[in-house]
Amino acid sequence: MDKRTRLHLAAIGFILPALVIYALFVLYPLVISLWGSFFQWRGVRTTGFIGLGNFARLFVFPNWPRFSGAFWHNVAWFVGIMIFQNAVGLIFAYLLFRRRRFGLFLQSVFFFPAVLSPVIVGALWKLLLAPNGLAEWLLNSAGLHSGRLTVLSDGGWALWVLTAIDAWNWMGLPVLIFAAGLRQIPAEIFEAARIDGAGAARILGSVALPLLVPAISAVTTLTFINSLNQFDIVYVMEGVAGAPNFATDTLVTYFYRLAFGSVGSTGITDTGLALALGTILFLIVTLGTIFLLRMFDRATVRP
Amino acid sequence: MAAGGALLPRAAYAADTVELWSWRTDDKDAMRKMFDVFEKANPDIHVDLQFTADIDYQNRLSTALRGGKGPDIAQLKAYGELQPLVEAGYLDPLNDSVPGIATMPQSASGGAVAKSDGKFYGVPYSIPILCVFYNTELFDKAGIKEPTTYAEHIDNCKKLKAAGIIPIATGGASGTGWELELAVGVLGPSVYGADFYDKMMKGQAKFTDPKFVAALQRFKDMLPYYEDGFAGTDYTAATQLFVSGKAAMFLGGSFENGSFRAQNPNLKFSVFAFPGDKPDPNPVVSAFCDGSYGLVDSSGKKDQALKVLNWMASPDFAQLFADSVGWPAARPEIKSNDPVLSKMIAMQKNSTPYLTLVGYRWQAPTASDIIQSEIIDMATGKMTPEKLAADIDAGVSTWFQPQSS
Repeated sequence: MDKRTRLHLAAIGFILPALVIYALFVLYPLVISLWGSFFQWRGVRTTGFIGLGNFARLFVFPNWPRFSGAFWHNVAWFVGIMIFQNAVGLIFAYLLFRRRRFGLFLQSVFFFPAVLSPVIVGALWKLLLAPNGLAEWLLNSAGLHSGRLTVLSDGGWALWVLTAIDAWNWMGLPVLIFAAGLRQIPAEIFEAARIDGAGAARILGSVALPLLVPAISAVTTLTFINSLNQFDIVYVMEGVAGAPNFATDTLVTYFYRLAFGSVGSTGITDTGLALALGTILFLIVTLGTIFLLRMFDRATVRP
Repeated sequence: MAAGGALLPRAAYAADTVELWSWRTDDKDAMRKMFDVFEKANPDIHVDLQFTADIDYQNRLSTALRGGKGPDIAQLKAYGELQPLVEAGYLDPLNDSVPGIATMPQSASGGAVAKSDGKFYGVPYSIPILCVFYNTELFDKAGIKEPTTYAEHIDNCKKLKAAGIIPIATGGASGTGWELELAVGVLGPSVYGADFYDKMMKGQAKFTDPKFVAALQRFKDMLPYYEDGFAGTDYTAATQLFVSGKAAMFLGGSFENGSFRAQNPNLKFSVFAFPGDKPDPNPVVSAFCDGSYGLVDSSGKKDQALKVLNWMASPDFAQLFADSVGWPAARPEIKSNDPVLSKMIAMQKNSTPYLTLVGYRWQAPTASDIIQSEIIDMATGKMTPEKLAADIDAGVSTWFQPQSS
């Protein structure tokens, strides 16, 4: 055995324990559920191989309206978070970066909601936004609204309100990442831009932004994965059917209903359809992530 | 004392132990007392009660049955949720071994029937009914009585509203849309009548039938009398309005009886069946089977378990059940000292199956799935009752097969 082989064997030996656990608890269930999506199910038992039958069912009534509806809600969620959380977060990070005093303190303030579980955040905002709640009182006192506040039961508002709450929850993360990214940019670059007569907005757009692409890439990719897998806030605030009238339904709440049932159909599950949906979601997230990473990789500039 | 107390159960253990699983964790003590009565009369059998919270129960039971480690007697969900267990062969039919089931009303036994062979697979224990709860003190204050017609009911609502009292509390926000489905179940029979369920089952009527649309419309028509911000109120908040004495009426099920009383022992309330257009001395209410207790096929103590199940099918058990749990039992012939419960038991005699649950909670999309989700948009005017009815019809038409008569 030459030295190289021995080194490789040693390396494999070192990663083996982690690899076994990973294979057992991540790869194995993943493969099993992919495999299961090709079978017909009755409760928790398979009754026969049906190839792509489950996948085909996703694209016809009554499943298609739910599937496509949930998909577009996830896309809207992604867009909403990109605007409410990441674009606004970038502006906050830039302001904090320019004004050093209290910068770190304010950064911690922005980050604070991120230490709360989305379940707690959802329950909290549900109370605040309930009829007779604090938000209603504030809005009514300010003359911006009158009567009872029922935004969470209004199909036109609910999804955006939930997205905004999610943005509030995680705002600290892009602020943290962008602020760290800005601090890594050599000071002389900003110095040079200033000497050339660029204003604050121009420096942000033409200097900071291109150099922040690695940070933007990380934040966007994380946002994409989290938005497509959105579940907890919807579950806590609107229930497993994405009330009102599926206006806040997401792919994962739909998956949950298919796999575990809901109040109107406890115990009436459709495991095959759930696994097919899970497989498609896995493909969307994986392909989307690869696409985003490659796109940002090409856009990266070095000073 | 302690030693003596410990000895008794051991003596009972020397007898045959029958294991029974239930999800009624709230009724642990009440059920133990009920089965103590059985054991006193049958010293050779001990019933070992084991409870699992409702949310985990179905998974625990099906996993255990699959592994052959289930109980001897299992509490079973009703209707569509019962079928997978029967089809997997985990349960024994009870038609011959527990003759008492056949003497129960169809609204009870219907929940324990297998679709595949039409046999009974469980002993039902309760027929919940849907009705209007009302605060008797607030009714007195507004100078109104139980309505006998819908017009009177609306008149009552107007008087309550004028007196500054919320006429009706209801709400289905944040995923509690089942409360609104239930509200339609409360008023439904007063509009579509007692025979509508059979017509639906035989395929002679559909959800798009003007009668069902009219029931939906009636739910919407009462919107001015629901609490302000009804659309944003969930089930719990709605019950609180009634329990705290702020709202005069609540559209609910008989199962609220115990919890309303427990939450506010001073609350003076009673119930009435939702009135129709014309006065009816015997108004029809929606009823359904809450669940049943079945015999597990792999049980090694079937003789003893059947003795227990036969007792559970008896009027004695029904009386004991109503007295200790406060719910209407599976037999309307029993009597109760609780005046509210007595009224509910009387209503059981004129009941029709709770349409969306009994008839259409068998396969996804269930009628319940659709109505629970969309009804809020109908109530707030984003959707017509006709459209909601058409959506329910389109959803259930993907799987519903009318009975061949």
